[in-house]
Amino acid sequence: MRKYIFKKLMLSIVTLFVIVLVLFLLMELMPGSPFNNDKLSDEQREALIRAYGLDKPVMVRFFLYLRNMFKGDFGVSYNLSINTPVLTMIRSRLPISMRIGVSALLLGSVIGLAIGFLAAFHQGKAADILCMVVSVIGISVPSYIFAIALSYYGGFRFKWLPLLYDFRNPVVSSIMPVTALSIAVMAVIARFTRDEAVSVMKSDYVMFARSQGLSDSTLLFRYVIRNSLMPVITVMTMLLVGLLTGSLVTEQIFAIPGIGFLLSSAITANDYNVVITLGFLYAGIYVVARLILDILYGIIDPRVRLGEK
Amino acid sequence: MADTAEIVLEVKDLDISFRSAGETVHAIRGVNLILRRGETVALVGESGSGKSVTMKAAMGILPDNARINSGSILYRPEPGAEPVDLLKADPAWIRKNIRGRSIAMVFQDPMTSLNPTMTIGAQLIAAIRAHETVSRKVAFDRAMTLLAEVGITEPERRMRQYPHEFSGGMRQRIVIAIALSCNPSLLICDEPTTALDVTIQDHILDLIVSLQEKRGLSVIYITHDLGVVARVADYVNVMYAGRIIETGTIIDVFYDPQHPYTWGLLSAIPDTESGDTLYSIPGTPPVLTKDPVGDAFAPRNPYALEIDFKEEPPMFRISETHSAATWLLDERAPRVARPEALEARIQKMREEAADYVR
Repeated sequence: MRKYIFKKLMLSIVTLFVIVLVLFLLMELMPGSPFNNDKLSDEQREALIRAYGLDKPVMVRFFLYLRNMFKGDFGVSYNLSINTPVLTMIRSRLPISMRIGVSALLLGSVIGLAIGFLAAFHQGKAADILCMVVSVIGISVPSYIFAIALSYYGGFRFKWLPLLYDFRNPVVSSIMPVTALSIAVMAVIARFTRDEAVSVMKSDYVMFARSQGLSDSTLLFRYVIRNSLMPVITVMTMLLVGLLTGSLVTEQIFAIPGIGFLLSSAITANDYNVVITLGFLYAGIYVVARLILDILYGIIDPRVRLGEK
Repeated sequence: MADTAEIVLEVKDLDISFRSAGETVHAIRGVNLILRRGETVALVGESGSGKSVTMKAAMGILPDNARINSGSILYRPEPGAEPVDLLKADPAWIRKNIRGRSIAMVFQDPMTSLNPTMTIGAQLIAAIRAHETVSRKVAFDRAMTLLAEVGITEPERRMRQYPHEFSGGMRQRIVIAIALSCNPSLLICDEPTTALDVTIQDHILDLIVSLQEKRGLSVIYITHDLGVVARVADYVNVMYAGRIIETGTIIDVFYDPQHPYTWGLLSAIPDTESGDTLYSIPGTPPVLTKDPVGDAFAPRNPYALEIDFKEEPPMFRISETHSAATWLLDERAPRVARPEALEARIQKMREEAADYVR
């Protein structure tokens, strides 16, 4: 098991290195520079570029950046918040995005798992069909539609909940964005859970277990649910990453000061260090999620763990 | 020679259909079957002939879309006890007292019949504790004894392993151990060796036969392999399109087959002398979305009479133990001899059997 984790860890580090390199090269291809203010003269602009070291060849900058990264220095913002370290900018915003993303994932997963298993156990009956109609709607309608609908009815028409995010009252003002984001999660999880549980219930080992006269609860928990969970967990991890990166529009609708909002402004402003750091952060979250997932696989499915020997 | 052993299981006029995608498939069309204590009965037929369905009905594990139209399955759990109709009994009672407890089943593919995420030990213990309130320790010891009994060495270490760490033959031994965990009196083996290598098949059959003798089990084999039948069975029931078309002792069916379908099956057994061309029965079995008119086998039967296409043949009694459903046995039918190649083969089987006894 330890060797298995170590191998996955090494693979993750290599992946991150490659991602930073690609990010650097892509930024190089982007038109414009961080200093696009019309009031700046050409000389002033040249001076700024030299001052920040942007006149050096791209590979030199890459390795300089990499070296600084190891020291924990991710550079400063060039124009969004001049000379503020990028890490400081992210540090205040990340917890907000994460809290909302994780809440949405938890809420969506719990409801999705319940709906999925419910549908699977009543396969072909009314409950199943209803669950699947709900999940198709949830998957096909983008989350910002729900966000707009929620903020119109819940926040404006009936005034149940605050219309915008309020850092003095983060829990109540998060309810609407979390709900809006969790609907897609719920739908995807419900769909996967149902299909997986249905195929597990048809499997030979469940048939054999039934022929042994095992109790329904043993069948349910030790056979059906446990064996259905693997693919569902994979989807959950992918969704978590999607929630952190993709809550961009929802963050804008509810005016949430999170990292999705920061990323979109940084890209339009060519704020290199902010974009690269956020790109690195997203990749990092993804890689860590994958790593956790691989370890979870090993715990849930003995075949993965022992296959490495 | 009348068999006087007590009847353990008696299937009477069983009739089952399945609903799927708006169609009704009439899979079992009046099956009758008798199993006596300590004996072995084989159900033989092509895939889809209804062998497994009949036995799943007895265990109460038919799929949701199955409907039992009529019939009864009388089962006598203990010697001398009153028989119970398994089709009318309370499902919860069946789960507690019959399934896995009194009737156990071994499935075809050992690669997929064990739970991949539970250790062998946990699966054995779960099976034991499903029917008996014993401590984990007692169940653990019993599980180890069972593993040793089915020929698994180092049971203590093996208990902690997962199914994927075992070969197919080993897994089938484990499946058998689980099936026997609560001392059933009837064991149903659904194609127990089909998914295994030929050499392993022998070992598994030997194991089942020896366990049967040791524990006094009554056994039903569901198989399409007449080689298996010849080795283990006392009685044979040949199924075709949801009916039993020939039934008899193994001697009756192998040495004096009456139904042209049985002739086909016997001719299709591969042997060392069959050379390059292996006989196969032409055509495919009927799809039972509507009941066949006449004998279901008639379209594939080179010996079919005119009446075979009009009216379903009844069971003709040949001897106390032997019956077959073919119009060829009617007194008005022309005398039809079995194909010569088959006669030669039967002669050879007789000689081999004589050698074997000697």
